[in-house]
Amino acid sequence: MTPSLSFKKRGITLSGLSVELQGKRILDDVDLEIFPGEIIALLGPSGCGKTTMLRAIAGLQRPSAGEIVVGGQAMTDVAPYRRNVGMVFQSYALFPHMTVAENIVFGLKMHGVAPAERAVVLDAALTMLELSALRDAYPARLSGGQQQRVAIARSIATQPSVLLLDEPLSALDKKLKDDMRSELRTLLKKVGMTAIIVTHDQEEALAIADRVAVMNEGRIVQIGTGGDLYHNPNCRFVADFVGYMNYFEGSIRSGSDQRLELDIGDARLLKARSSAETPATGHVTVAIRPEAITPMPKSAPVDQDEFNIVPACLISEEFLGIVTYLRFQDGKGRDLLVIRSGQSRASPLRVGEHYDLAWPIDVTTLMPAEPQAA
Amino acid sequence: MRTVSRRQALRLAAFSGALGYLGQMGFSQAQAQKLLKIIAWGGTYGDAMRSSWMEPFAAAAGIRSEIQLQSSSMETLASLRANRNRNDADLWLSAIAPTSLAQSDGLLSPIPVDQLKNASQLPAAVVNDTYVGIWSLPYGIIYNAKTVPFEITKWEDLTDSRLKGMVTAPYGANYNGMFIALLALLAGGDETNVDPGFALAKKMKPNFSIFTTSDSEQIRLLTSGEVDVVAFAPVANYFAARKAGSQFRFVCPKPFIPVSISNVAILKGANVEAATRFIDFAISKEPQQKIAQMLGCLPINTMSEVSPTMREAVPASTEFRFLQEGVMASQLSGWNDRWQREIQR
Amino acid sequence: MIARLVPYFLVAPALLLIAVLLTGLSSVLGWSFQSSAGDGAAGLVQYANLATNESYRHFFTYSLWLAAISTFVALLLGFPVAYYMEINASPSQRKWIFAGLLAMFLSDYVLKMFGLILILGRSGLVNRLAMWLGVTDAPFKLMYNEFGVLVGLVSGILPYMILSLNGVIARLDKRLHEAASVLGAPPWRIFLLITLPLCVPGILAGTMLSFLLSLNSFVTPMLLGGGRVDMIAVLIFDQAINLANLPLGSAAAGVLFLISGAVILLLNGLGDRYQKRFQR
Ligand SMILES: Nc1ncnc2c1ncn2[C@@H]1O[C@H](COP(=O)(O)OP(=O)(O)OP(=O)(O)O)[C@@H](O)[C@H]1O
Ligand SMILES: [Mg+2]
Repeated sequence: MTPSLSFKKRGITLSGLSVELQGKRILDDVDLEIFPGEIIALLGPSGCGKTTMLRAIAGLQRPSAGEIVVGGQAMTDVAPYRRNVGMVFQSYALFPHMTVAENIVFGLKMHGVAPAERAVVLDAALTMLELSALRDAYPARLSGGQQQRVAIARSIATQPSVLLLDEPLSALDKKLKDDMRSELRTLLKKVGMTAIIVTHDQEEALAIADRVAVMNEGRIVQIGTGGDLYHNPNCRFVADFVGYMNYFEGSIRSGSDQRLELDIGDARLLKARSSAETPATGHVTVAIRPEAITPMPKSAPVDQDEFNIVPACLISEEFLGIVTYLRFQDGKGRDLLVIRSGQSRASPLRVGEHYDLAWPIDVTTLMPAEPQAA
Repeated sequence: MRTVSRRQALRLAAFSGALGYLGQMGFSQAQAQKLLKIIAWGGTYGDAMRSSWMEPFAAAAGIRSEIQLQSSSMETLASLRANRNRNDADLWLSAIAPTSLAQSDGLLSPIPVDQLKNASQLPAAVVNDTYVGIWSLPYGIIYNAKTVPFEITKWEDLTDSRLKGMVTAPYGANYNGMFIALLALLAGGDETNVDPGFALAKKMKPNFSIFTTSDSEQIRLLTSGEVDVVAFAPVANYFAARKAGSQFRFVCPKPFIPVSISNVAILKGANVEAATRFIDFAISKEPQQKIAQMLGCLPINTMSEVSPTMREAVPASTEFRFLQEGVMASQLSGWNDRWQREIQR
Repeated sequence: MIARLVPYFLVAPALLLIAVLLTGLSSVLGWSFQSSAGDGAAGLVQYANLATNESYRHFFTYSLWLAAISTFVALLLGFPVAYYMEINASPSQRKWIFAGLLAMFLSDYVLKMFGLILILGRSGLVNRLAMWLGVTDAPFKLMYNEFGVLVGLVSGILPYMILSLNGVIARLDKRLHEAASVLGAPPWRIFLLITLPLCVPGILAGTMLSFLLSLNSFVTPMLLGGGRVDMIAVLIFDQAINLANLPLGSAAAGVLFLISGAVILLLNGLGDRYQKRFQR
């Protein structure tokens, strides 16, 4: 990397950011703090406002309320071409009438960078993204992966304080996607750029980002590291979005110092650890990751103090290679999913037999009960 | 010169070959049935011809006739040249210039003048074996008395600076170059020396605002108020303009006015006998009176009476000048170019 | 068997029409090698006549000039309309603009020219308004001169220009503008560097169509030129019809045909070379 491609690290703060389009609230009072050099993944279902958020930060979409601050500078009323924010569009948006080289130096030209310096940056970018052989090709002749690298090269050539990537890998096939994913992270970290990467794909989000923000209906529902979201989802939406989850609806029966007892009906009690966030009384949702559950033979001894136990019948077994899906049903007709590693040498289970499903009390997650459905 | 639609022009240019061929096939038939085919103008001309000449002639002589439309006689000349020896018409109504050109191109049959019983009633100059005159059209100035600040009485008045930008003049050598020849005669030249005429035209140039290609355009520009003076117009245009308002005046300017002779010629390969009988009928007293009245022109037959409206526009005292249209014909192309270059631009 | 023949049946009328037109055209061209009196072959005499006579040459240079000016003006006027129609207009506005264009297409050309006379003539709308407002004492000369013909030509070709541009503008990718904007390009540079280059195919198509229509126009200079605006079609008409010089008129038509062909080849070639660079 040449000295001319040194990036100034800058953070992003969104406060109370709202966007309305045709009377519809697309972004609804979003607060988000991104630290300098941090990579944030925006994860959420289609139409939840991810692209809209990036467009607002880039200045392509006027917010109806709220503030956008980049590197301590208020950006809300700054025209897009003065923001120096890099953006990789969902479908790259390369200029079809310009060569790879012309695409990459476009931003530098616009910023009045002298030709000599442009050449230096161009060479650096071409080398970094392994595009040197394609410098005079037109975008239409490039493969998807090559186009994506050109789009990235173009967006970083101007040394933007912030890089916004809108589903940059969605157009690629699985293999290329997996390769590019780690390459992208390496690159971003090497340059030290603050980045927001939009994706539909939870795996991709967890692999690339330092923190993941889960969005739903124009709001950020939860933000945290992959572990935070996986192990401590704050609602069923997040829990469902990041991996699978088994649920019981119940109410708190009694609570002591560190322990809660939960009535889930069927004269059955579950135990869980209490924390600052868990409600002291009332209805709750109990969530258990399927890979935390171990099916045990009826007769096997279990430490009732450390484990929760629910008896259930094995309905079906699906062998998927790396993992095996085991579907159970308990006495109240609740479906329970158990995922066992494909490598597991544990004794084979028989469909139709009854087992005790056991999981440690520590991984029993509590969240506020939601109005039915979701 | 009459209005020519572009379509007709193109059709003639593009399909002249095909038409000529079809015409040849019809030739022998025409002779057998004594159906005379007359190339002539349509519209009021066609209507007038039918009721004054063709229908009475059919009743009297038992020879039917029909009109093959032409938009202008020059156009017909072009098509006759293009379809040399392949035309099936017998008679051609035209002006002296195109007729003269056609005669020198060998496109005509000589007219047996001695067989025309009524020829003696016509001025001798308009009867020869190339053509016979059928009516004459006097030319003068039409102007709008409401907007022109003085009374126009002579051709020289067209140089008056008070007419700046108010006058329309013929386009190129339109009206078969008669305006150019007239100016030459007025300025001391003649049909073979038009330089003085162009010098005179240059004096009028500031007054010329529009150059018109057809009678109808002339009338339209005058009656819509786009121009106030028509420098050179057949009296028929005055009658047409008069329908739009009484402010329009026709002048037969001093010292003299030119008269164009419309004529008829017999085409190569025609049924000469029937054609000659038709001509003799057409130039006789009564049909002449009738057609002159209908067309707003002067009868060629000296025995025919001139209508009162025509007398009002063209007083009996008016001095006419017959131009040597035959001499002019071969120079039209050069005059046209020169007029466009020196006067129109 | 019949199914195989269907395509031939379908193209037959068009081919027949083309054949008839070509026959007419070749007969016209055939005449251009005749002497003026039409009585014999004369080689290239008519073409030499056209080339050497300043009076005739003027018709060609002046027509090319008028065609170029009117095309350029139509481009300047048409681009914003096409752009607005495709990018900014609401669906109902779009419908109205389109209806206007359609009206311009469907109305008779001669009628349109007469309409212009009513507006721009000596006692037309504009002059009456100007005199009423006291802008001028004497009416402006807006018609029956070069200006009038230019107005006529532009109004004649404008709908063609707009519809040629519509296509490319509709296909413009809005994200390219946004990408350029994010990369630091202010609106005017986006227009010059992104919008305009991507519209080049439509601009060339519209230019070709408009230029040829203007170059070949007859009715406009005839009706609006006041006899002062020398365009080629007027020369052809004047020679072939008014002066019965079909050969010279045909030669002029032949030269016009060659010029038109050259313009088509040139602009097509430019367009092809431009597009081939960046299209698959
Ligand atoms: N110009 C617009 N006018 C009205 N609504 C819009 C407009 N653009 C987007 N929307 C709506 O805003 C919502 C959010 O759109 P956005 O593109 O931000 O979604 P997204 O999260 O990026 O979805 P995806 O993952 O499918 O790309 C959608 O419901 C969409 O229909
Ligand atoms: Mg999106």
